[in-house]
Amino acid sequence: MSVAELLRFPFTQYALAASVLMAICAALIGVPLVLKRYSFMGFGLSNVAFMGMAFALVIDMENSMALVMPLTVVATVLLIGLGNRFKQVSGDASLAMLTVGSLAIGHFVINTFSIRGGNIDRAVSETLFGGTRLVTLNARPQEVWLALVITVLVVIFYLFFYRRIYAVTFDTEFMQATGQHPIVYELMLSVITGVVIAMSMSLLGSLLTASLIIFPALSAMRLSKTYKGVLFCAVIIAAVCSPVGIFTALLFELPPTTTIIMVNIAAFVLLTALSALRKLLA
Amino acid sequence: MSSPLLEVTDLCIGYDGKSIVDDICFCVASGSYLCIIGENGAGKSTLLKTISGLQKPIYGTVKFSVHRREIGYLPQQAVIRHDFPTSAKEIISSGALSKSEWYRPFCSKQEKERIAWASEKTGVDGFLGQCFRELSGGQQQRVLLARALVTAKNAVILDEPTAGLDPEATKEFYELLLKLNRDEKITIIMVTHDIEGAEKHATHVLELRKQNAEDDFFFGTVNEYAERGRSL
Repeated sequence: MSVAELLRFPFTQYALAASVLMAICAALIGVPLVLKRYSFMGFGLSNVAFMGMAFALVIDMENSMALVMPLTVVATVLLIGLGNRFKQVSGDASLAMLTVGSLAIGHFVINTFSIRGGNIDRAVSETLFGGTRLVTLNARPQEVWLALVITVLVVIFYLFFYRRIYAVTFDTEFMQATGQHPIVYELMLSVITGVVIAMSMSLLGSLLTASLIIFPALSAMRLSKTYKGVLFCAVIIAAVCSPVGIFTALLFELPPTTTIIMVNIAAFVLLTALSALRKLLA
Repeated sequence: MSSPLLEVTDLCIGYDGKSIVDDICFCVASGSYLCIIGENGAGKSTLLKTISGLQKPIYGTVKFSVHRREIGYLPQQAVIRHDFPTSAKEIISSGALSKSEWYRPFCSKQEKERIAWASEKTGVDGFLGQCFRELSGGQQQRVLLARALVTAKNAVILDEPTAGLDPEATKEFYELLLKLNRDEKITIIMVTHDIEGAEKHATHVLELRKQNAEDDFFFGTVNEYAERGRSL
């Protein structure tokens, strides 16, 4: 089958749309996360979303988003927005506990209380790593529409508060000393982060979500030396890697989510090598 | 003399309820140049953070006659991420945020003029587009000073701005501060451990001593400070 033929199938279109939209969102929230040294947060939070998904599955919720979204947002706000203000447990330890704990709880709950028949292991595997064939990539039309709405909102939010997001990422102390309220923007950013992670997790699985947060941002930092440039490059890289991954997976019958990650890793390695070469020649 | 720009009354500073220095009283008139000096651990930075509103006083008051949004700030170097991918211009522009309305996504014309003015005054207009982490230490500090100036109509607060700079860059930075103080009438409040540099340019000195000393702080003009001698 050629690419053009594949594109006619609705499931290809949904998968394509979902992965590109979520990649763009993840890149936008990924840049400040990585720059604030919260790179690992993406993985921890997508595991929280997995736990939410597990609970939704057990109580047989019609719309799992209604549980996953608030749960992830609350976890994000606690961890990023307020985490550095109330140091009960060190940030590193609380993140590790959250990552491991939520994964374990999710797995435990599904295996212990699931009343639904069917292959539990496969359900778990799909929520974590995405489907092994494209058809099982969990994109449904209404979810793709929701993803589109979220993407548009994230982009608008970003354009509107761009200067503030830059300022809270670069130097919150300066903001506070000059009578501003960085916490307001930190909280807004963490709410957005939680929403994006929950949405992306339900569409693409938690592993791909975590990858989309770090790889485009890190690749972009090899390319550009300004904040605006990094943001722009990250979005472009994210938007290119996803369809390349999906088509590669389709053409060679590979697992789509991990193929997208492979493409992202390849892009990172390539750009790192290029920037090293450029430094060597300069 | 007009009413003071900054009035500190009965201030007790410290961390987690433990005081480092108490009963600090002093005023800073508009246009002065105050150096805060003292040994390590005497509470210089804590005092500066308390004045800047980054930290709550244990008791006492810090009162500015203008809004905080009109006072520039140059943090201690450790606060700044020196590997952050950002241009000098992006950093300087972020100084305009304090007075920008929240619904304004872009710089206003006024703000742009202010940014250009601050860049020119600090002599950073030659490398605005360059990446911050590739600048020299002295250039980086001047960029951060420019950001503070975009915010500051009246005063700039600086926390050890010349720490880690070579003697040449240190001298340049002090001269720049002096020029801003004399020509632009910008009040300078600066923590430094460089007593000689402080005495040369400052109008006032605030010295913090460890708490077990007989009196744990001195405040006065540079001449009063010199008269007292450093023997105390």
